[in-house]
Amino acid sequence: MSSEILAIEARGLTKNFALTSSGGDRPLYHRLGGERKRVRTALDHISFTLEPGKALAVMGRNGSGKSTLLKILAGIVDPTEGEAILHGQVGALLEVGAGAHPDLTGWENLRLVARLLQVPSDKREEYYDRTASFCALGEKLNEPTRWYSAGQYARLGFAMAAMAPTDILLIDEALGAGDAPFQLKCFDFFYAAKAQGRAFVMVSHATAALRDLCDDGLVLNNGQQVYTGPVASAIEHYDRIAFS
Amino acid sequence: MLSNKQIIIRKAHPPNRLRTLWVQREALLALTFRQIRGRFAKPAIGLTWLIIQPALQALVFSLFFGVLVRVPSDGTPYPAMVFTGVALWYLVQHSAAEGANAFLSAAPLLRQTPMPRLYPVMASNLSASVDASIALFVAALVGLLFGTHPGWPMLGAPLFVFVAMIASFGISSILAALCGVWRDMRQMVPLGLQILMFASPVIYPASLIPAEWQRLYALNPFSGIISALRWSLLGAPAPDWVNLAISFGSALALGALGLWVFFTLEGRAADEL
Repeated sequence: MSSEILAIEARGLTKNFALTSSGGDRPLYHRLGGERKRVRTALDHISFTLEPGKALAVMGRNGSGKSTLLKILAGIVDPTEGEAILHGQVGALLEVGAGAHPDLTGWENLRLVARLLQVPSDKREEYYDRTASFCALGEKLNEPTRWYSAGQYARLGFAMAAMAPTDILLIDEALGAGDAPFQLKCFDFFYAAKAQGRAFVMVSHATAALRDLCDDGLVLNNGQQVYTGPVASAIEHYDRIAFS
Repeated sequence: MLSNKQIIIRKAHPPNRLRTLWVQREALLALTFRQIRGRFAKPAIGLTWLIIQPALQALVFSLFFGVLVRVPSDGTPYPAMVFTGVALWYLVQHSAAEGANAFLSAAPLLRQTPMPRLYPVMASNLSASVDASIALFVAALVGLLFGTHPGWPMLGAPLFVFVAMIASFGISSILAALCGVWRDMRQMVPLGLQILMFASPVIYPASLIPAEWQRLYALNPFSGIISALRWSLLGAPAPDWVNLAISFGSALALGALGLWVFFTLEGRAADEL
């Protein structure tokens, strides 16, 4: 263990989802009869640490709890048990497009996101410039985002989240955004940002990309943490689960 | 490289949730702006809707209740009286309707940006109150057109709108939490709002309620607020100050209840995101 300060320290993160109390399959009054509350454990005591400047790959089959883990780290859903300590400003790119408003132009969305992500006012101009040049959408930024192609929308979302001055960035399945030149640009960005000490947690099925970008790997299976360690052996574990 | 900020994620949010509401206030303003801007994107007649909507509603009510049914109006012109009520009701109705949908309509944003989950509710509330204030201003102008003489009580109008905001914030945050957890609760919102409207002096003056019921009636925060606004903007008779105090107290209680219900249920509603 390094004596340095950790970017993320997660201890026993657990998430149970109630199956009967809400969610629509059974009305509330069914519970008045004393029916026991059934829960589904989406995550079962997940623990890991991540140092600044490192990237963690989270792998697992569909429904294994990867996205739930990221949502907890982003503060979007609350854990049922356990805790996580995150040092620094946290940014998240949990779905393509990052919630851009379809009726607002790219620029308007950018200014809005700067305030939502609490980019300090003296760093706003720099943020706008860097985002605009990174997504390279040019004049398209003056158009409402509903006129964007799926790839252009994804590029804007990625650039808005990546260029924000965050210390920790959580990314869910966003590596496939955009065309090949854009993906190369994303790779360059990841290497440069890691060198600056930014930490990443990435969820993806693109194991080749994860092998290049990430240092550590965490493999989930049905909410259980089945492997934590160097990314190369994590990928081997994942392959064994996926193809068994 | 790391900023000094430290975030601790646990089962229960830290008790200083109220403080976080203040800390990220810039995000709230951004969200409010987005709501206002989004509503008037791709406009046919744009901001004119703000005036046309309450004006047409006031016109319909004036024809039916003012001309046909001859509802009294406390010495003020009925169209101006009903316009004031309708304008204020716009705030209640829009923040309640949007609050009930908050967890659904703000889902893409809440899934993406870490921010207090109450912000979309507060943003609907704020943007609806901007609309209502404009409509109230027009209502006062309509009054002048009909020859009312409002005076210094006009200065009180912002305070009354603010208290109305607190009360409608309470309603919308309760609805947001309930409808976020139990989606079918949204079915009752339109009916509930209609009942509440008839229980408030929107299309009639509060003086129509029999004297022995006035204290009970004052428990509806909007009864005191709308009467006060008519006094303030149209020069209607001054409201009963005790009743007004009761209405103000009940508005504050409703706001606090809204916070409590929302903070209690928001975690479960977030699981549905």
